[in-house]
Amino acid sequence: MTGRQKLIGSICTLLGASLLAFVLGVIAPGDPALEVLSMNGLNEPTEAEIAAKREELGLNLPIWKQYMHWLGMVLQGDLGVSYITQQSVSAELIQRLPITLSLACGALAFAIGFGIPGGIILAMFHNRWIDYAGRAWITIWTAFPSFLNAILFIIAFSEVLHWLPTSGYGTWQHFIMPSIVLGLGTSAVLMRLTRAAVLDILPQQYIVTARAKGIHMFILMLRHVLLNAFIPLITVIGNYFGGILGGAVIAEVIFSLPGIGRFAVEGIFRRDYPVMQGYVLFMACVYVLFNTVVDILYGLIHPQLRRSEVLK
Amino acid sequence: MIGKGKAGAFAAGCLGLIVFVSLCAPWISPYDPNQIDMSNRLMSLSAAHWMGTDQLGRDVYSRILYGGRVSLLLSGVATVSTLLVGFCIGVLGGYFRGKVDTCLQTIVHIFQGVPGLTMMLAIVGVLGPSLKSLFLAIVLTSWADFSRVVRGEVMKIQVEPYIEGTRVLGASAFYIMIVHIIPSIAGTVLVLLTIRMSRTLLMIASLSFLGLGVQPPTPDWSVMLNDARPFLRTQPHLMLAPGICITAVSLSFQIIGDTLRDRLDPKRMQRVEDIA
Repeated sequence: MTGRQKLIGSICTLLGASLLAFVLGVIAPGDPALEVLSMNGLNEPTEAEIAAKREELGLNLPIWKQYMHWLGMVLQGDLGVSYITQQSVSAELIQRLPITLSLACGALAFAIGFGIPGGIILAMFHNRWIDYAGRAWITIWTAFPSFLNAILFIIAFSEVLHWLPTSGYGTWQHFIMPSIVLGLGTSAVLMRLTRAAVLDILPQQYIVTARAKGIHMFILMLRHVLLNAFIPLITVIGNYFGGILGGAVIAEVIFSLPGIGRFAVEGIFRRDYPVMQGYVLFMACVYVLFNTVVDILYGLIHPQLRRSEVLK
Repeated sequence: MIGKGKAGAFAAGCLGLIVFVSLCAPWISPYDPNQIDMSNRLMSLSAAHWMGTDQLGRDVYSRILYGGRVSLLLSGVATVSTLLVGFCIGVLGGYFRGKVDTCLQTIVHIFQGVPGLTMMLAIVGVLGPSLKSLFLAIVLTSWADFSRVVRGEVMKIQVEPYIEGTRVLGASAFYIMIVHIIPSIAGTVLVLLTIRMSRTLLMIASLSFLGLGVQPPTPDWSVMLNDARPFLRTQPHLMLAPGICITAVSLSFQIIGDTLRDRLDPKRMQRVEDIA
């Protein structure tokens, strides 16, 4: 796929996500006009007021016109007003986005930093006890529920060892446990994939040659093995980032981090539909953007792909 | 591989036991799982209450026995339904290619453009927490992955000479799908199914833990976990017992899936590994 096709694909995906978010608002029970009018909990709007508000919000238009209208508003950065806080949803979400992003990036960094070297080590000690232990470790963490994990971490590192704060937000220490809890599952999957990729590469002739030349093991692993192993890995890292972004909700709720996931869960309990729509849209944007960056990176480290594109 | 088969057999046995216990819960549980007894609340382990009692004095052991029923049934039904939807769409796209495939792939991409748990939360949030919306949320968020794996497999197989030969002999598309394609991808689908069961169970548990999945007072492991949160320090066993059960089931499915994958055809299962 060329760069332009990829870009068009990303835009289509985003439009599709916006359609999904819009449909959520349509199937939501209750009348948005009534919700907006009775937001402060004091007013008892009359029939005429509701009808006027419906007209103002464009709720009497055909559904596709409503979507176009809504999409126009969204593109201008207007996601509507939260029923509960009565603030602009986009402002509320943007305010909380950095927290979720730091958490997700921390988790991804942990997953990569722990999973990839781990996978290389397991491959180097193929069919030795480290490999067996590592594979058991991988199986356990891919199947372990993250909320339970979070609770065990809190007991171990906050309540028994007093190393890290239990919950809340403020310093970088607050992000350590949530990031690790969120990234552990992904790190296990990455470890398994890295192990498989490295095992494929190790018997290749250029590795044998490099070893025969007497190259240091560390340089060999870094330059010849890791760079090649990256190619199959980088395509899946984008997919797994989706899991991390989605799973961030649980870490945010358990560790009381005021990110957009927790805001969305609060919104759900209060039937605050614009917040949910905004949440879906924001997550989709972050996810698609991340995958686009990954695609660019892929082109950078995979010269063959670049060359074939130049030839086209 | 030493012990791989044994691990698989052990996991299958463990899972079988849990399913059996869940099925027989009404006959083997010593108490009614919803019997509230405020005079005996938050008791620790004793002969009368093997796993103590919770904050409403309900017997934890009985609740554990009942606790797998809803989650296991729901994740089973939902995963199989997801499989059916994803399978049909994947086979259609992979076999017919062209416009049909382009349309289906666009839809798949849209559904994959939103992180899974995000979409589940939103769907359950809008429809309100109930088993029906949980089911819908699971199917809507996971069918796309299934269909992509199936599509890839179908595309790989249908260029094989024997399929082309059958086609030249005048076999219909329907015949080729039923007789040749579906049996040859059955192994991959089976592996995907088992590994996905573990995923689905964890997703249901996560949502229940947030208070959006299975609703109290249903005796369910994830509901019990959520109920036990305030008593984490004083009564850790309240949380540990259901936690171990969820982990055991999820781990069993994962190990069975891994064993099946190694047994069937490790090379061809690469795609399953990428996605599941």
